[in-house]
Amino acid sequence: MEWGGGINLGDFMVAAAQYGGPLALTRDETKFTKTQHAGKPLIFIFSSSGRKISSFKWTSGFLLSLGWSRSEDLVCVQEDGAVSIYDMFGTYQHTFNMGQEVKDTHIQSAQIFTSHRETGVAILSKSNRIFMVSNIYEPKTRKYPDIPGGVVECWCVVREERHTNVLVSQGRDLLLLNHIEQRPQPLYPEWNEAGGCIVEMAVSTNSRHIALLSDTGKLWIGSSDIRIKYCEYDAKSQVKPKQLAWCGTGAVVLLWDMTLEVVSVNGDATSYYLDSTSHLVQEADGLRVLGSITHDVLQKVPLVVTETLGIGSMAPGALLLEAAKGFQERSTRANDCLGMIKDSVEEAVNQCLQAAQHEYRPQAQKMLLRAALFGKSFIPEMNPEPCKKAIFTLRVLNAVRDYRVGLPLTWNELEHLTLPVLLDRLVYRRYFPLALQIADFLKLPESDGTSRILAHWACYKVLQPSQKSDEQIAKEINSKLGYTPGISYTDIANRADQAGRKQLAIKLIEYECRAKEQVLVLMRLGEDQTALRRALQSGDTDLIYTVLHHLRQKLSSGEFLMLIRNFPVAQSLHIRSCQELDMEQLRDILVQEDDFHGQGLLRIKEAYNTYRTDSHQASLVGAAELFRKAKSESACQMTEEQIKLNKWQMRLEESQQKPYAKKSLHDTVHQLLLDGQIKETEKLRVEFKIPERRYWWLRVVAHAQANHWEELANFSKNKKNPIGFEPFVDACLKNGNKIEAQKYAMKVRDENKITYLIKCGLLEEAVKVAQEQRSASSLTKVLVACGPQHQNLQSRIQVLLSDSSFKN
Amino acid sequence: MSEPRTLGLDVEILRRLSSDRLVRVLEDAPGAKDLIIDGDLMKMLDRISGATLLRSHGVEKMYKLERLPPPVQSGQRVYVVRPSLVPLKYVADHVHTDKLNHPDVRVHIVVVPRLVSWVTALLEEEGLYGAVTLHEFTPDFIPLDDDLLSLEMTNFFRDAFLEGDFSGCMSVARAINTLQGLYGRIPNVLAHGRAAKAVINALQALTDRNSPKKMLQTPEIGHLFIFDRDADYVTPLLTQLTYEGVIDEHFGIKAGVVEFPTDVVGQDAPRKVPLNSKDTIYDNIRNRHFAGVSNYLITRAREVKAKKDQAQTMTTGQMRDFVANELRTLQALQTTLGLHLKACETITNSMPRDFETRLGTEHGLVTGAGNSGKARKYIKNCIARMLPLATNLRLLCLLTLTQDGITRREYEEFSSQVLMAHGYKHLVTLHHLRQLGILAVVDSPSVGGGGSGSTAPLQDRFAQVTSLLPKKGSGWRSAAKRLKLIPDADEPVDLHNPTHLSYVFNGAYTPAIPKVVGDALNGRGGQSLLDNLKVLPGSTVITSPSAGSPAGPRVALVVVLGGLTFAEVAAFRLLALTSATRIIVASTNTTTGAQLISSVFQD
Repeated sequence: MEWGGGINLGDFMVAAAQYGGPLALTRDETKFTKTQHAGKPLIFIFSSSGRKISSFKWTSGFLLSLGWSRSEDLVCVQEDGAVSIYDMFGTYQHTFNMGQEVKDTHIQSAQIFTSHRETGVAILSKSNRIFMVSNIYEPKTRKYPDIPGGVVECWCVVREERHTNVLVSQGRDLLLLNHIEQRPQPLYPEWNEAGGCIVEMAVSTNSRHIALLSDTGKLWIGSSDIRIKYCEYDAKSQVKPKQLAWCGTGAVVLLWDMTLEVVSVNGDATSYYLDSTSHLVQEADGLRVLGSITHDVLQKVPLVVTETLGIGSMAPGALLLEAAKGFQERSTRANDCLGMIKDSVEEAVNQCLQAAQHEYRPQAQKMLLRAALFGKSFIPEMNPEPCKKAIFTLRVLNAVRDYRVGLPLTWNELEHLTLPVLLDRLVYRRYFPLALQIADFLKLPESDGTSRILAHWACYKVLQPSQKSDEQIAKEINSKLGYTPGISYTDIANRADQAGRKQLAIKLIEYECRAKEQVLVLMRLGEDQTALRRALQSGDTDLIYTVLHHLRQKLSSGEFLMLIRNFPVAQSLHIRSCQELDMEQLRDILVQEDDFHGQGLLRIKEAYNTYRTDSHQASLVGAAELFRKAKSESACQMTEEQIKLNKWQMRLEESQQKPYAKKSLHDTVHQLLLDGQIKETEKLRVEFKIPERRYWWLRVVAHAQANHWEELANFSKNKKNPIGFEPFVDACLKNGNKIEAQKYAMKVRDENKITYLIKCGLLEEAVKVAQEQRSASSLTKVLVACGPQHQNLQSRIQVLLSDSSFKN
Repeated sequence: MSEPRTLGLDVEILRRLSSDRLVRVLEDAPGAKDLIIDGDLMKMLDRISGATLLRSHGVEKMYKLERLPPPVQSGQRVYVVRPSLVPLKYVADHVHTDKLNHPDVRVHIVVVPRLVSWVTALLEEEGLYGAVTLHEFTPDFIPLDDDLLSLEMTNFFRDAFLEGDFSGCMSVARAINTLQGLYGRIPNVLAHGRAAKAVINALQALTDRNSPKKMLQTPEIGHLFIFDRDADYVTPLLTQLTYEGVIDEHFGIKAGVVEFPTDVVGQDAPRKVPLNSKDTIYDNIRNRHFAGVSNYLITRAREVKAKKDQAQTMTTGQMRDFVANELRTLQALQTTLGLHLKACETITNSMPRDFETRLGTEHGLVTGAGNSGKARKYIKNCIARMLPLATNLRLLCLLTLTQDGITRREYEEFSSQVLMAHGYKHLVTLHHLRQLGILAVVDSPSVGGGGSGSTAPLQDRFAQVTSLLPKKGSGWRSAAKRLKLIPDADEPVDLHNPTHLSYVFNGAYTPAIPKVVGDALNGRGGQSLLDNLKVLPGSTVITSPSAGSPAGPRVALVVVLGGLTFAEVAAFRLLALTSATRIIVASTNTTTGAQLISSVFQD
């Protein structure tokens, strides 16, 4: 161990994470030891190889228990039920509480247990109640059924598929607590001789097996539901062992001060002597023994290894190994051995590979792998993948097992953990170069490997205090990371910001190429102008709106408007959104810009958005005033006309009891004419100076539409006709009165007369006129218009046309 | 017409893409649901996925979004709305009302085409945040035909060109990006105008994000052209003369579907007829000059009738064959022919009596051959006759544009008449038209500024953003001259067997955008074209393929931002034939001059 000999584990409370994770040590307060530090205890965190990772001072209440979560966070349980979580660098993460009752009664003992996915905490309160949180990252406290009073000798947590049971030993009873039953269920393990109470129990890592130790030194090993007994073993010791633990699933280990006794499930036992006080760490496929000086792995030798390397073994693997050795020595033995496994070379290769996987010494690994490759060369069609995988993975395993890294993983554990998780763990321990090398070596895709590791590195980098300027750091990070896909400068900048390095964050975010992320971070950093500028550059309107929205909430209205003045695109977008959502704000802008004309237009829009006549009128008056200010005389004049018209319309509405509001001048006149109110229209004409031509048009159209034929006739007699009689004819025809139309057709000006006579169906007259005009083209026109019923006329025209005196 | 179309490139796949995306959104609300759709989006959704598809994904009832909520029947309602204030307010009202009576109803809001942040903010203000689930549905180009794509974004013109809000460009860019994903990166790009530039920028950002592998694919589309509507306002202002254009102006084509009124279909209910090249009769007449359509239809009808008459003299065996194979098609043909004939008749009858005068006036203005004084008088008459506002303004705008702006005095005269006839609130409408530069007045940009130099500063700022005010000294006439848009009056244009793009306007005017595209495709591009483009508002962006890489096939995608008229579509179809290029025309929406102008009305 790297910590040297100075540490006697016996003096410490020890917690070690599974999968070769870190160790946490703190002085055991229940033992008397010589200490240099008075007062609050220190918690030390070491790697599995005893290299110190961090230490921190424990400042809260009495620390009862330590443990590690699945994601290698340190879990500390206090006497009052507060559970604090730290990462392996001693950085505080969060705290939760086991509930008020626990706080009041305090904890007797606590257990931190892990399952496939989660890490949980169970506690036994001093009032003999068990509480549990099954996932420390989403703490929800659950209470277990009450246990009768009396001393609890020992207890443990057994996880089943979905639920978690608790076994409690009290006096001579063994009780099972679960959620389903209201009260504890007594269990009766089958002892050879009854009597004695259970003082220690241990559950295997997969929760299937349990070991119970009675005060008489008898060890009962069986299934975790106590139904099946595998064996019973007499430890012949009245002294309670320091620790009871499973080694994988095949054996139970008892640890006394200097002795280690291994009892297999068959009841066979062996003892070892240790050279220092040790601590047992249960793993899925073995057991680690932590000593002051050494760190050993205790594991049942896998069958395949025994078969391949066992002395005198005749398994194909062993023979292949022998053959390979012989081949290297250029001995005929090679041929002999190969001959013996002729038919099972493939099996032999697999055995060698598997054996290599379970070997720890590179020397042995190499030997076995060579043998495997030697064997494989005889089977050309064999899938090379398993070989490749074994070779690559073993290299990785050897690298991380190195004491400088200190991750003693077995092959099976790595299989279970998977490579990405291993990389994560390396990154978490800040072994960036090693992680990078592994990722390169295994040719992992960039997003899983290199770029992810680099991103983590960058996040770490920004947290480190440095002499360099922020600019330099940002550049350095960029030069390493470049623009690899999958790298988010946003994350790095956020990290820098969290660490209080705002300037660095700003520098970093400049490298972000996703405009949206960049702008959002800039806004959060308070770099509003830059954010707006970037948003504008991106051309993404939604993004610009987002920034504007943010700015509006942050700044006062005046400041906001002054700011966006410098950004015409932003301003125009803002104006647009104002037009839909906030007219008042729009007015503010226009006022700020001294844009009276715009304000006037806004007033008009308002006027037409209201249903109230008085506010409509008021808005128009306002608009007129604004147009005057804007020196738009014509607009002003038109507005005043409209105000006048409104007044007229109001008066008309009163006298006629008809709606006139919001009608245009023409529509008003038209409506009046339809109603036969010619006097009123005359007044309007004078008042609003409607030009003659238009007034005539209005009258003609309206009279015809209202079928006021007499009125129309009277009107047509007016000498000063500025529009001619064509409109009269058209209007009559449009309203389906051909007879009336014919009355006016003859009055149409000469150049249009023929066309209009044809329109009215007065073909005879048309011919007459054409004759008078002596126009051949007019005659042709009439001819075209002739139908089958005009045979006579047609022939007449033909005759006329043959007369050469007609001009074309 | 069929030759260039048969080349690969199935644009129908776009519809399927959009449809799949829509289904995915609907499945976010699994189970039975009622759909309440913004009226403006109805046609588009129709086009993307039929009712059967919607039903198979749990849609039970469909309603149009109105002020009052429809009855609650399913446990879920899905609102499909544009990010616009009024529909969203309606939705908020609905949810509040329904909450009282049916507290269990789950509400989903699907925002088309983009869930923008202010929508979220608005719903938050309404106290709905969390009470509703928000979704986003971005449609791709919807194939209205195999050479015509549309995004059906009817608000784009007003948003971008009047309000300076170019958010729609993002959607356009996304749609183009989808096309590039399918058919490879388009090597030659020519974009002109502010919105076009915004699209190019957004497209750039999107392509950067694409995987480079996809972009290495050999391009199936060689050329991309993007133009803003303001490059050519004259085209939409002119009365359309191709059959399709006339149909659009008369009955309105929405998302490639026309709703013929009762008097055309001769039944009690109006009938929706999809207009596309699958209808062989329509395919033959759509781009014809309207004057030639009835004749063609009649000839065809006679042919069909003749074929049917032959049946009278057939032997029994021939008869059986005939009934089995031909009769059905003939009957279908006859129905279609009848329908279009009836449509022609309805249109001819409803044409204003002075249609010829109007056309003459328009063309006289454009070619410069007509008497502009007469035109002014005609416009004043139109106003006095109380023709629809959009019709009047259309002609007025055409006058001002072709005269390179009218004087302030004239403007005041016209505006006072317009206001008297159509209501005072249209002072704002006129103002909008001037902002767009579609109503051109020489003088300072402020309306009625009195000449004392008190230009409204905000107007100038707006101008910076939209950059639509006519540049001094580069009026429309000189632009038309540079781009050779006015054909030589001495060369008669054959309207019925057209060879020149100007046939769509009786040979009086060549639509500018097809003309520029044609020049570029026919190798008359280069510097001189760029110089010519300078006379149009906005700036040009050009990308050419890097040396060595393939120039791409003769397939061109033309995108017009802010609305495309069917006259232009017809011109493009002719161009496709004459230049032996497959041209796919895409736009934010199909439009007419009346629609363009009414979109900026003060309502």
